[in-house]
Amino acid sequence: MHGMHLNGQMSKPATTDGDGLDSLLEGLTGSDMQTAKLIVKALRSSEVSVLRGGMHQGGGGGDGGDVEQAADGPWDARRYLRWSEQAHRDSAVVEVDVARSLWAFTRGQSDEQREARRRQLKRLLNAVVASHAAHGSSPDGAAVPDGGELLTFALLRRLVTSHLRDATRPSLEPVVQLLGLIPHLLAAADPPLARHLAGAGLQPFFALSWFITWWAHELDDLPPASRLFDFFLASHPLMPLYLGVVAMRSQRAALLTCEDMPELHSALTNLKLVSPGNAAAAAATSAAARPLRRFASSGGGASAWGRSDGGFAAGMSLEQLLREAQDLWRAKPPHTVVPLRPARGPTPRVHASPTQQQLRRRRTAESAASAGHRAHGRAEDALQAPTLSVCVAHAAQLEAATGLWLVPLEPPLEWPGAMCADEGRTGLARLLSRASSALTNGRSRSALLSGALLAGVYVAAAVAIGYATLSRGADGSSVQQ
Amino acid sequence: MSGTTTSPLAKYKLVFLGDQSVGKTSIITRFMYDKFDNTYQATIGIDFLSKTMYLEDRTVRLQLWDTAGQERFRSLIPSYIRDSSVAVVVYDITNRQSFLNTARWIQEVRTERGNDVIIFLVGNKTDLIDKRQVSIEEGDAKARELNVHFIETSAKAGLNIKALFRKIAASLPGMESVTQNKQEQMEEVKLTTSTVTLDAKPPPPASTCSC
Repeated sequence: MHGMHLNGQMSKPATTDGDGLDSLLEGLTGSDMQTAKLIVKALRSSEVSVLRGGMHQGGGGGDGGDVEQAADGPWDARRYLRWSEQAHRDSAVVEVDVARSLWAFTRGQSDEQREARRRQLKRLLNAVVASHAAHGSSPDGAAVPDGGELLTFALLRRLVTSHLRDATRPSLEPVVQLLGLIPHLLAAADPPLARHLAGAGLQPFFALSWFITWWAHELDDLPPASRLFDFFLASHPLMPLYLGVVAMRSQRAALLTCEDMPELHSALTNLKLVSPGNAAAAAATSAAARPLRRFASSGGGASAWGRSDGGFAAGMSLEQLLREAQDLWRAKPPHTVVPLRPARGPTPRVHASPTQQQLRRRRTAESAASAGHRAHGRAEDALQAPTLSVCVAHAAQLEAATGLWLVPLEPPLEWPGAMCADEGRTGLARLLSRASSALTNGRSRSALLSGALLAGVYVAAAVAIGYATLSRGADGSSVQQ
Repeated sequence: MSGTTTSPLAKYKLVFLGDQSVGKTSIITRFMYDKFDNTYQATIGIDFLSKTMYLEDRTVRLQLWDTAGQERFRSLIPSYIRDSSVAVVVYDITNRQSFLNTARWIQEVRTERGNDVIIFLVGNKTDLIDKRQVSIEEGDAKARELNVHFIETSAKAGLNIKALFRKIAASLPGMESVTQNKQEQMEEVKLTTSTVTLDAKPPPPASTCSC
C-alpha cells in the first residue's frame, strides 16, 4: 500500500462534482469571483494536494484523508450551516475568544462590520469542529454564508488536519515538543544568540503563538498576515518556527541585552516581524499584488521570492525575513536538526512513507503492537508518534506524492538509511528521521497558493484565537474508529 | 518572624491564574499602564511583565506572569506556579462558573507550593453591576474558607487595582512590619446602590488571615 505513496502520483480526486467547491463561487462578483475561481482551480490542481485533501474522499490525500472519509462526504452550504450551529465541547471557548478577536484585522471598520465578521468567524470555527466531530444535526439557520466564507471553511477544514494538525490537539504536548526544535535551529542560525538563550534557562513557550496562530497573534495588520499565510500555506508545517528563528536573529542585539529569563521571555513574546514603517509598505505591496500572486518556483528557485518585494522599506523587510526563513529551512531541514545516526538493525529496502493506516494507528497510540512489526516501528516509537509525528510525517508523505513542500535537492547523508536516532533523545529524533526517509524524491517544489485574501481575514483571525479549540473535534472518537 | 534580609530591589514573582476572559491581562495592564483597552485578544501561553513598586520603606520589583485561561494551556502553568511566591486567582463576578473554578486553581497552587505561597482571590468586573452573579459576601466567605486574601476589582473602571497590588506588596515575605503600620487605601464598591462610589475607607472585613 505505502509503495503507492512513494512512487506514484497522488491519486486524483475521485470526482470534482461532489467536492463542494462549486458552491463556493455562489454569491461572488467581479474580482472576488475571479479570485475565487483561481483558488478553486488551484485547489483542484494536483499541485495543491494538501489543501485539496479536504475536498475529496480518500485516495491518498494524506492522513487527513481518512479523517474526511470517516467524518463526512462532500458538503455544501446547507451542511456547513448545520455544522456551524452544532454545540460542541469547546463552544464556550469559541464564544469568548471570538468576542475579543479580529481587532487587529478589522481596523477602520465599524463595530457593526466587525461584529458581522465575528459572526462569520464563529460559524466557521464551530463548523470546522463539528464537521470533524460529525455528530447529530441541528436545524438550519437563517444566515447565508457567502462564497468567501465557504471557501475559508474548505481551507480551514483542511488545515486543521494538515499544517495545523498538531496545533489542534487536545494536549499542547505535541506543540511543546515541536517548539523544542527552536534551540537547535537557532544554534544553526546564530550560535552566540543560541548560547545566550540557553544560558538563561528559557522554556520555548514564547513561541507558542508563532506556531499555533501562524504569527497572526503577533501582527497588528491584515496585509502582513495575509502575506505570511500565503507563505505558510506553501511551506513546510514547521516554517513558522524557522521564521521565528530568523526573526530572533534579526533582532539579536536587543535579545543579547536581555539579562535574565523573564526579560528574554518578554522580549520574545513581543518579537515583531514587521516594524510599523514596513507594515505600511507591506500593505502597498499586498494591495498591488491582488488578486492572485503566484510564485511558482520550480527547481530550486529560492530567488523567485526576492524579486517582487520592491515595495518594502529598506531594512529587514518581511520579504527578507521570509527569504531567510526559507534559506534556513534549506540549510537545516527539520530532520537534520536533531542528531541522527545510522540504523543498527537491518535497513529496510524500501523506505516508505507512513501509510494513512499507519498514521491513524500511531495517532491512537494504543495500537503500539500493530505498529511494532514495521522495520523501524518499535513499540515505543508508536507511543511517541502521536505526539510529534503528524505534521512532519504528513508532510513527508505528501512530498513523496506531489506535495507542495520544499525539500532540499541533495538528500543529507543520513538519508534515507538512518532510521534510528540517538537513543538518548526523545522520540523527536526518531520521528524526524523516519519522516525524512519518506522524502526520497529530492525535488524542490514550491507551488504557492497566494492571494487567498478572501479567506485570509478569517483564517488569520481564526488561527489567532487559538484554534486550538478545534482539537477535540479533529481528534475525536469519530476519527479513530 | 525574623525578616529575610532583602536587597533594595528584591524581586517577587506573581502568577495570575483563572478562567478564560475573567480579566487577568486587563488587571495587569491597568496596574502597569493605568489603562484599559477593550481590544485585547486572548492570551496565548504565558506573558511576562515587570514593574517596580515604590513602597514606604523600600522598593520591590514585581514580576508578573500572565497565564492563558484556556484549558489547553493549563499544562504549561505549574512550573510558573512553582516559581512564584504570590498567586493571584481571578474570577469574573458576572460568571459563576469562573468563581466555582477558583477552587481548582487554588488547589493547584497548594499542590505546587503548599502553604509557602500567598494567594489572592480576586473578583473582577465589578463595573458590571447588573450582571453580577457572585456576591461580595460569597467571595469573602470562600476566601476565608480557603484561607486566602480577597478583594474585588474592576480593571475597566480602575477600581481597587492599586489596592490589590498594595495588599500584595504588603503581604510579601519580609513586609510584615510594614503592613502593621500602614493604613490600606481601599476603594469600596457600594453594592447597595446601582452607582459606584469611591471612598477612602479601610478594607471590607476581608481576609487578613496571613498564612
